[in-house]
Amino acid sequence: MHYIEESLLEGIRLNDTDTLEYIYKKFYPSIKNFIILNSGTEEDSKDIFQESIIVIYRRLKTQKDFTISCSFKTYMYSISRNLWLKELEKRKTEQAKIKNTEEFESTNCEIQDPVSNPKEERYKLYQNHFLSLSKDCQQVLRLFMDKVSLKEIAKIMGYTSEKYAKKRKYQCKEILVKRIKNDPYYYKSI
Amino acid sequence: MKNIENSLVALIDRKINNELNPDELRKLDKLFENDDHLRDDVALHQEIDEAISETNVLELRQNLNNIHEQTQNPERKTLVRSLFRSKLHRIAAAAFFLVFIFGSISLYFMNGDEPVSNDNLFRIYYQPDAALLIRGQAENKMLIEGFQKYENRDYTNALALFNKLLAQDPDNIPVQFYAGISNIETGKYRNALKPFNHIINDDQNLYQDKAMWYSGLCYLKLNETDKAFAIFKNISTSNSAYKYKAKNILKSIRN
Repeated sequence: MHYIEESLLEGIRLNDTDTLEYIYKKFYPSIKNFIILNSGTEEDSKDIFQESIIVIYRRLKTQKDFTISCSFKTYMYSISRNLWLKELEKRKTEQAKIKNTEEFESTNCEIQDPVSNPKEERYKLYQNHFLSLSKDCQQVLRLFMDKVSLKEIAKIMGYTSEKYAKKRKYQCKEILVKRIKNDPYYYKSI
Repeated sequence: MKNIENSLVALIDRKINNELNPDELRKLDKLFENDDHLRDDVALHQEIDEAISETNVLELRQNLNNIHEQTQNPERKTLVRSLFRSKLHRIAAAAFFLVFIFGSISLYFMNGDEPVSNDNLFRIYYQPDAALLIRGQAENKMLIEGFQKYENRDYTNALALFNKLLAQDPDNIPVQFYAGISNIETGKYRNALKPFNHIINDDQNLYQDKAMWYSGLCYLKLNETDKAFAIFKNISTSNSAYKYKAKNILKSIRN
């Protein structure tokens, strides 16, 4: 594997902002062109591009000897292409054949495993709704997930009592569950 | 007012975290025996907890969102580019431009200084949000039917179903949103403002940016330019996905 590919993968593994900015500037425009050429929108492009990085991140975390056999650009394109095909299938777009942009015409990288599984798709939905909660709700739920004591949570969050900390947790959880259940994509994913 | 500590959410959460006493646990398990939905709810809660425990993935998602915001410089985006987003939009844009150019030439001869009308701005920027294909359980029949009708562009009947759903659950944000779009599609711009305002006032949710954008467009269509201007101004200074479109529209809007 080339040095550049190695350093980009390492940057993703470490969630390194400089690397991710570089990846965004360098590769996002061509992925966006591809998505838009194939019936997508800018929002779809953003979603697919980010999800491709998450797919690589998950692979890096679960497969210790993870390597890629082509350039990073081609690999990103292959993952984005597969994710977008899957999405088009869900939307039942009547598209006989996906069109490649010129620069990717003859390039494709073999991806052995499926790019994402239904559970990961559901996680994406839950996580995006979680990130749309107020900062206060996100923090209180994270503290509970990290098994921080009620006393500590009340102190960190500036709540008057431990009882209120617990109440706030349930309120935030209720908001999150309701938003997920109300999201039409939830019914697509179950 | 409902006591959150005794709610189903709290009960399920306590079960997942092994906080129920044996008596409570026995009673709950008995309930579960005969209720598939309850069992599904517990599974959903467990999965949500797993998903939000993925701190690293959540941080990566947040980082990517921030980078997207910073690195994409849609200042360079023009109105023309934003119109060419898909084949359908290209066809619509081409058709509109023909009408628009013809109209502009006519206007030039009538009055060279005439700005773009609010109605034309609406036509340039408005497009209905993508239809959603959903499948689900029997309990969501009306919801599924509503979205199917929306998808088939049967906005009148979709709206009737959305309104029924909202009478039962006004906090269903996606239904509020698509009720708003259905109102626009059926020419009821004033009625569309109600669901959009409901979304805007509902704390934080995934539909807020969209609701703001469409309510601004409704005010444009209603020729209430001051209100439209205030909304687009607000969007243009926020982190909304529509901020650059709002900046563009502000340049064209009549003061």
